[in-house]
Formats: sequence, C-alpha cells, structure tokens
Amino acid sequence: MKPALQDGRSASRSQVWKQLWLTSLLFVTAGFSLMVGGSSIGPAEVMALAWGEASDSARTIVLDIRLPRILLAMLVGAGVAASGAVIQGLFRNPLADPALIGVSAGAALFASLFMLLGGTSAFAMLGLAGSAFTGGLLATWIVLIVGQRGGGISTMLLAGIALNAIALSGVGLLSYLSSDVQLRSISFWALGSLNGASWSGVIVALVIPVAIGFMLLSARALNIMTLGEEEARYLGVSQDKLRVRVILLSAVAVGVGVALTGVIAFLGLIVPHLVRMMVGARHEVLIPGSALLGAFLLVLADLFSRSVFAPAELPVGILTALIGGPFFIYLIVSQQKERLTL
Amino acid sequence: MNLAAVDVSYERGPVRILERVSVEFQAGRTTALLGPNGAGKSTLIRLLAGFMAPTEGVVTLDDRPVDSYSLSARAKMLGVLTQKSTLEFPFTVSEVIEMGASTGGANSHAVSAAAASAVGVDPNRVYTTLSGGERQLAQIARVLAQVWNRGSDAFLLMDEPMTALDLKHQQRVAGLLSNLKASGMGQVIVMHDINLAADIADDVVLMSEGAVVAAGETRAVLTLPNLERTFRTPMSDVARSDVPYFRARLQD
Repeated sequence: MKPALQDGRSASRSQVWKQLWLTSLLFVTAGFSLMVGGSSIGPAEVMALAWGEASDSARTIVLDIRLPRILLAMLVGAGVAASGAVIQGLFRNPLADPALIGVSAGAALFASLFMLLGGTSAFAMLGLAGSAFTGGLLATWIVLIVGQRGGGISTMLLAGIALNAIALSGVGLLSYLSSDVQLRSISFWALGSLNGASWSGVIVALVIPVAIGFMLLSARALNIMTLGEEEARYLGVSQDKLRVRVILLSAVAVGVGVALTGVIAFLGLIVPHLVRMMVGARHEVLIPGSALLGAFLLVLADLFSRSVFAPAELPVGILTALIGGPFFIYLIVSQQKERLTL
Repeated sequence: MNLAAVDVSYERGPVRILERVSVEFQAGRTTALLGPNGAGKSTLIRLLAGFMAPTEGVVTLDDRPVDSYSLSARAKMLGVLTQKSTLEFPFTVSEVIEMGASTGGANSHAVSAAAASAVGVDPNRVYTTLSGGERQLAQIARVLAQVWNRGSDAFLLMDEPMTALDLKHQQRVAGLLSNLKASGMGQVIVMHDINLAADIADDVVLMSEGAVVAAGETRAVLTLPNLERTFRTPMSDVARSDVPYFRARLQD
C-alpha cells in the first residue's frame, strides 16, 4: 500500500484537495452520464433542456429516467462504500465488508420475500425498502447478539459468514418457489441494477447521506478502535457502544440501498482500500472520501452497464463484481507482506 | 495519587490466575513487575487498569474503586501499554500518537510531536511499514502522550515496553520514564530484564504462579534466594564472579 508521506498539517491540506478533485470528477461523470442512454437524446438536447427549449419526450427521459437513476447511483454507491469504511474500522480488519456481517444477504432475503408475497401493492416501493431494511437489521442484530455472547470480533465475522450463506440459500429457495415473472425480478434484483430508479426511490434514499453524517460523528472513536478493543478502552472508547452505533448506521445505509437497487457487490470492500491509499486511514477523511469515490464508481459502472450493450443493459452488480473480484485478489496478493489476517 | 490492589484474586473458568494479591503503588515511584511467563503479571496490569474486574478483592485508584470512574475519566488518569496492538491500517505515526495525545487533553499536536521525538520515532512514517521495534516505540509514544503533562495526577501501566527495543532505544525510554517519574508520575512496568529493572525501578514486585513472592525496595527484594524462588532456575550473582558482564550505562 502506498503511504501518504506527509506531516499532519500538509497531509490534511492535500486531503482536502483530493476530496475536492474527487467531487468535481463525480459531477463531471454525472453530467456526462445524463447525456448517454438507450434513446438517442444527446448533449444537444440536454443542453437545450437546461435553457427550457427541449421536447416533452426529451424532458421526460432526462428528468424522470436518467436524472433519478444517476442520483440513486450516487446515493447508493456512497452508502455502501461509507459503510464498508466504518465496518472495516469497527472490525479492525481491512477485509471486512457490509456483506460479511450479513446486512446485504439479510436485506436480499426479506426483499425477495416481499416480492413473492405482496410485491404489487400500492406501497410497493416503500414496502420493499422497509422489508429489506428490516432484513438487514435482523441479520446484523443476530450477528451482534452472537458477538456479545461469544465476545470476539472474529466470532462476529464468522457468524456473519454463516448468516450470509443461510440468507442466500433462502433467496434461492424463494426463487425456486416463485413464478417466472417473480423469478425474473428476484434474480435481476439479486444481481443489482439501477434499472428501477425513480424519484420516489431517490427520496427514500435520502436517508443514506443522513446515516453517513452520523457515521462521521464516530470518526475519532473508530480511529482509536483500530488500535484494538483493549487499547481503545484505555483511551476512553467503549467497543460495545460503538459497535451498536456503527452496525445500525450501516444497516440503514446498506439496507435501504439493497432495497432500491439490489446487491451491489465489492464496492464496500474495495473503495475504502483505494481511499486509504489516497488520503490515509483517518476516518474523518476516510468516510467522506469513501462516500465520494463510491458514488463516482457506481455512476461510472452504471454508465458502462447501460451503454456497452445499448439498448439492452447489464445489471450493474455483475459489472462491479467482475471488476471488483479480480481487483480484490490483486489487493490481497500485493499486501501479503503486510500480513492481513481475517 | 495512589493505585492499589487489595486482596485481589482472579479466576477464568476453573483456573485461578491470581491468588490474593495485595500491592500498592505510590506517585513518583517506578515499580518493576518481574516473574516467569504465566506468573499473572499481565493479568495484574489489566486488573489495575480496570479492563477486567477481579473475582475477589478490589482495585483502588486515588482511594476509590477503579471501576467507579467513567472510561474517559480513567483514560486521563491511567496510560496503559498493552503487549499487542492489532493496528493494520496505514495511519502515520503522528496520527497514532495523536490518538493518545487528544485523549489526554489540550495542545495535542505539540504533545504528539514532543513524544515522538522523545522516544526517537519518525512521526511521518506509516505505521504498517514499521518493524516490530519501531511499532513498539510508536505505541510507547502514544501512551506517554496520553499522560504527558499530568505528573502526579496519572499512572503509567506498561506491559513489557522494553522487550522489542534495541539497547539505544531502551536507554532512551528509560530516561524518559525517569523524567516522568521526577514530575511525580507513578509507574508500574512489567519487565523481563532483571538488570534493567535494577537500574530503573525504585521498587520491585516478584510474582510467581499468580502470587506475590516478594515486594519492596529494589535492593531489598532483588536477592539471589528471592530470584531463584521466583524463576525456579539456578542463578548466579554475576557481579561477584569473574565472568565478563556487559551492560549499557544509564544516561541522565
């Protein structure tokens, strides 16, 4: 891992510049993304729209289809990546991930259950989000209980892995029981896609930046927690309180994201790694940096997934897994000498 | 301020790790905890630090039970160095030291810089790229920064601070501890090097199999019969033989 070799003060200045740079990159990509899509509405029409001179169909496509989709990609990408950062800090393990403590799988199971039982009600979107959130919360709650009984962090990680397997086989069982139409929506959704983005989804997803804001309040405690549970106590930080706070906040950020877009693989694992290489490990900069890079990468991945095979589109979760998986293996191999332990 | 364990026992499951241990530590004195592996030294440090509660007996800090203080209040009174830290993230050394300094209070930037230069570790390096000994120095600096200016209002509890250090840095840390002692800070230090303990400790507590073998002023306690009883191995008093004996001189 390439270290940021600066003293405290100049490091923080360059960290600010990097975050600003990332922010502008995000908005440029988002703007570009607004001009690309299955229909032939290009830069000229989007510009015209800005001056209020576009056709109704162009207005609908850009404002009601592309814009909410891009905003949703930003919010969900930010939520998953920021959760990855805080979960890794809490578990003191750079290989931890929201998926590893069962949030994603729990949310996936409950969302599938909702699709199978009541998917077409008037409150479909809210019901789906609510049940996915409940599933994510339930899974993390079980992991927390196991951790408090068995004590250790590694116990919690192992419980999360087991819970993950159980929930995913549950999703498998549900898709076996479902009709063809339901099956298609379950599997499409389990792969992760921004296809169903809408303004109501964006509004629900606004809870994600709120959760990220609360995560930032725990930044100093998370820094200290990385020293070890015992060491943190001697510095006045209690693992029990921090654990509940961090896990609840990531259940909100990830659970809502999973509900709206399905499972976006590997973003939560890899983004914090990249951000630590850029700006260092302090959570005060790691959390906002991860949120920004996560937002940027998901907008970018979605741009690819809907333009490469246009007018057909690839579920974006497949793309993040295809790129993220090998990259993750590369990270593990290149960091062997730093003896990462799971 | 004083720190004391009164008739303290500690059991984990069926195993009795500490057996009715009573020790008292005073401000402005350095006490070395010596004993073989598994004697219960680290457990005693954890009980004194309030990380675990004794099965029987009580630990008092400034004449109050140590667990009656809040975590943050305790963090200002006790700087504790453990044997292992799990830090696996690329914090810089100065960021690591800052975690201690900011717990201690005001001027944390200045205190961090002072602590880093005092122990002799480069604050700009990244922790995960350091060797074992350098990591140990960074952790020592973090704990010292936590109680830097608190003098007799704080205690230092250190579990084998010297073990991973080379001779030069051992002497450097020893010099620092002596300065902090002069400011009134009480110190309890687990050590393995008996001669180093003889150099820096005012008092020594010898422990074996969960009990105190002998405790008191260094000169009175460090005797051949006491050491052989503690370590259960034959020893010789080198100063009285003709075997060459090398040791670093303590700097002041």
